[in-house]
Amino acid sequence: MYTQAIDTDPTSRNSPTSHASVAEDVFLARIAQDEKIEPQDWMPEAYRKTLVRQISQHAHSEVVGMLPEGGWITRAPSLRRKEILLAKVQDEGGHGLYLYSAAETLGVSREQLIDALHSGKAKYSSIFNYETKTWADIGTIGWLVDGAAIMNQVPLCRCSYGPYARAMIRICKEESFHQRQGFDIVRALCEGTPEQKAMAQESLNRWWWPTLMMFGPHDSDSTHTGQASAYGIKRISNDDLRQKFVDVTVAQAEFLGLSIPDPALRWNAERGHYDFGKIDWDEFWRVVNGQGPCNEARMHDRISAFEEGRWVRDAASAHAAKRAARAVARAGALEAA
Amino acid sequence: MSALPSQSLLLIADTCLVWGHRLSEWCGHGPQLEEDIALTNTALDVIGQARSLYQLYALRAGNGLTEDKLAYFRGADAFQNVAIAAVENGDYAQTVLRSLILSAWFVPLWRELAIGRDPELAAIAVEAEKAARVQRRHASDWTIRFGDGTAESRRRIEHAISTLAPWVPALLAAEIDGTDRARRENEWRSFIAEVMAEATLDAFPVGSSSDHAFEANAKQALSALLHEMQSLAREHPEAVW
Ligand SMILES: [Fe+2]
Ligand SMILES: [Fe+2]
Repeated sequence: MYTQAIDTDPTSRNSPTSHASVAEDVFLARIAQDEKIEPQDWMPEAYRKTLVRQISQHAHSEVVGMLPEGGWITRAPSLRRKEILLAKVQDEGGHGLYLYSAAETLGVSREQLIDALHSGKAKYSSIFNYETKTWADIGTIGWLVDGAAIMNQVPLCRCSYGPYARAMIRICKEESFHQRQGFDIVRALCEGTPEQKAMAQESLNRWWWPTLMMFGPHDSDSTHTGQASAYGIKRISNDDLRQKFVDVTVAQAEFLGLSIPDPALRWNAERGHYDFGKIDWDEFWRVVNGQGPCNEARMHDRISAFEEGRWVRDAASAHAAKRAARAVARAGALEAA
Repeated sequence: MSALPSQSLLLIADTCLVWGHRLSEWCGHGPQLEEDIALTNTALDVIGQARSLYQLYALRAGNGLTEDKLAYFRGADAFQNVAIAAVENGDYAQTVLRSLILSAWFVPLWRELAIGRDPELAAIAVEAEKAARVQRRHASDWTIRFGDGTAESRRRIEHAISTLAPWVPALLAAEIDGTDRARRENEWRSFIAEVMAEATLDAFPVGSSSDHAFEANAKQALSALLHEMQSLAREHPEAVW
């Protein structure tokens, strides 16, 4: 999940009914009836804050998520794969753009949000702090990471906030392409030379557990899942989504002839689900809090792209201002004449 | 059949691929998301053109040649691209200026090929000309913003002009069978002159010929580029991806 439910901002812990008012009652009734909330509608401050946090975390994840895969565009082993990967990474940039726009409808600017990312105040999905060591990682990311993102994001298409829900519908369509393309990369490796097959297995071994962490902490440890679901922002719990992901993915790995690196993984007929081993939450929190393998490199890349691009953005606004001033001067001259 | 000779086909295809590679290096590092996406669009256009041209070349050559063999299993000495395509990106001003120089060269080239005597190439050229016009518009807009923007942007675009100008004579001298080189050069010169004027910049300084030092430099940049691009494919020469 790209938003991981990891913010522990105390304002978001307020129960949505703790400042009961008529407006808030009306608002909650609309959500209960599955109506969409639009930017011009009244909304409780806690709802707005929760959305800004979640949408911006999601946007940052899309943009930071361009980096691990972007590093393989120049080395993609065939022109067809190169084109597909380039288009995929571009899609992620587009997702970032729609999501920043959705967040802007809540009264924050893209600059403020980017500032929060660069100062370390805002989070992004911990998965993008892992290294892409081999070409197989490009397949695995599409298959598992985009796959996990879809699992989380399909329910968000029904989210109570209109602009977010609409952005998610568009994004989910593209994510499912990414998932199929990633699976296809892994399939080609599994059908290829012994070295290629080994590359696919080694990659799965590294990405499996971090992918399960993408769904965020256990429901029992998650500080604001309850509130987000009362607001119609989060529809399915972290653990339920994670279980669904495991159930679907085991069959795909079997099809590919890959083994999932979890000795505790087995079918539980009673539950009708796969049981799986314990997630290393220490690792999760280490990565979330900045000590993952690539946290520094990712932030360094984002910040330097932004800082090195400053003169470009400044030139664009200076030029636009000059043109506007000339247009005004021309109009003035016409009027005088 | 009035097919374009294969050397000319490779010159165009290799130029597209190498330029696309340079543009793709920006992906994820652009000065703003919109520009990241726009540069990637150009990269996708030109890499797509390279693929179509390699496929055409391979089909005509027979012998089991493929687009990937052409892209991944030829060395720098076999690449026919115009040298400027391989020059390192530099800053955003230099990247934009190279796009302006190349797209202003490609527009008349594709237009001529689109109505030329090689029908399979013409089919590729029709679409490519449309894409090149969009690229030329985008690169002109930014060149104008930089020239007529801030003091820093002006300094940077001027620096880019002096860095890239030495590669231009070889570009304009490139002969492509069945096309009118002199007419292409004239159109290039008048388009660039208009952009420079609107950007409030001095006339573009096209020298008479590129010197050997620059050529050696460009070969070195190309070798490094290909070394990276081909590394994985060459590690697994038997693999299908
Ligand atoms: Fe995405
Ligand atoms: Fe994706």
